[in-house]
Amino acid sequence: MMTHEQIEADEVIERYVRHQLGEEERRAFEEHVLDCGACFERVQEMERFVAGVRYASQAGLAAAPARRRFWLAPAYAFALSVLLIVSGVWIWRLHASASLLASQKQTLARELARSQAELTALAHQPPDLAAGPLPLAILDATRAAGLGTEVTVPSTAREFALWIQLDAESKDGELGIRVTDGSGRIVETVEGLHKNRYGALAVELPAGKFPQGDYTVLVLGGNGHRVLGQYLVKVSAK
Amino acid sequence: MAGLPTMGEGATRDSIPSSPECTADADLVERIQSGDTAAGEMLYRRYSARLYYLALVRVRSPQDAEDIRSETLVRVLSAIRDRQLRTPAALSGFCLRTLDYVVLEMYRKQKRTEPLIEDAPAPSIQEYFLDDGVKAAIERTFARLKPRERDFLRMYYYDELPKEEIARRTGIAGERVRLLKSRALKSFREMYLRLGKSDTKGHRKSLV
Repeated sequence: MMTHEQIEADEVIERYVRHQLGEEERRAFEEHVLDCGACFERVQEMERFVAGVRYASQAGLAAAPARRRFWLAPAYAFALSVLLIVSGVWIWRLHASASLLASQKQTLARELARSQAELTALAHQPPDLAAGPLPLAILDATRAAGLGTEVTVPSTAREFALWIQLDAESKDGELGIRVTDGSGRIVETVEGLHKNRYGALAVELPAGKFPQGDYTVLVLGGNGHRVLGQYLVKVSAK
Repeated sequence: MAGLPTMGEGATRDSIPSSPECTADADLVERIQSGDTAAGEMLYRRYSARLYYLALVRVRSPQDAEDIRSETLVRVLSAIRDRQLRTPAALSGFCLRTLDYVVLEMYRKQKRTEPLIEDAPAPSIQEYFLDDGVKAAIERTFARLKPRERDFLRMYYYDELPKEEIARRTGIAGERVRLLKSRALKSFREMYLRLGKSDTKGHRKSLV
């Protein structure tokens, strides 16, 4: 008959469950189990344990699990929060930009409509540049050489204007004028001029610089290196 | 019909306690022979679950194990009453021999009646012990163990590798093997008992 000491020392219960006992030892142990409730309990417990380990092994529970990174969840949450905030700000700004653009578009449309109305009105109304208090000299290249244009400048006038009708074929671009007196001294230079819609240059000159006398007006193009026209102006006082 | 008792008495003890049953066999035999019907019931209660388990180990079929248990108990009781048992103190040995004889008879009978039928592979005996309680207990036990210890248990009980090979793979020395197994089994036992107390839905598998 087997003793409990022998069963403990030889791990008989485990070996029985794992079918590792020899015939004689197995039979002796089974006789013991029939007699001993405690050993029968231990046998059942070992059966359950081995069944459990085999189940866990088949289910993959016995494999070393991947190392858990406890910081991953908060990190993901933080990244997601940042992403949501950035997306929200971006969408809000996009919406604001769209509103601003729509507003600007409306403003520009209104200005365009107003400009078109003004242009239409101007097209039907010939310029009356001679009218008003501003003295005006209209310079035309078709005039005969040697004949200047006289402009009468009242003593009270602070300015007078030149209306220089350019050749219709002259190109657009930045133009300038240089005015010299009878002795060839440069009295005034004006740069950064552009043809207006009537194909002319309109220039205001300070009356104080132009005492009575004859003056030559050169229209310059090509950054001041090319003379596009030459006109004579006679300033007289009133 | 009684089945395998659920784990309870004696299960929390690491060492095996001595059993008083050994000394009671002769008295039990004498009472049965004197016509005490309660003694017959006592014999049934004592051996029923154990005989069922031993039969299941042999035939791996709950139905056959049930038949073998019943037939064995009937024959043992009949033998006692007919005073065919010469050594009453050796009742357990007599029960085991009777069980083996009944199993042998069953095999012979099956061989005669189903000679051409190829038997399906018998399931492992552990399948009859695997229930929700065992699964939950082993999962929690494994959760407590180090990865190396889990590897060891898998290699030892599932892959059934030699100890030397397991030691080479896991680095667990031979002298630590017994301690590791003992600790894992103890942890499993505690978990199983704890879960058994909270199991009110009866998810534990009964062998009968």
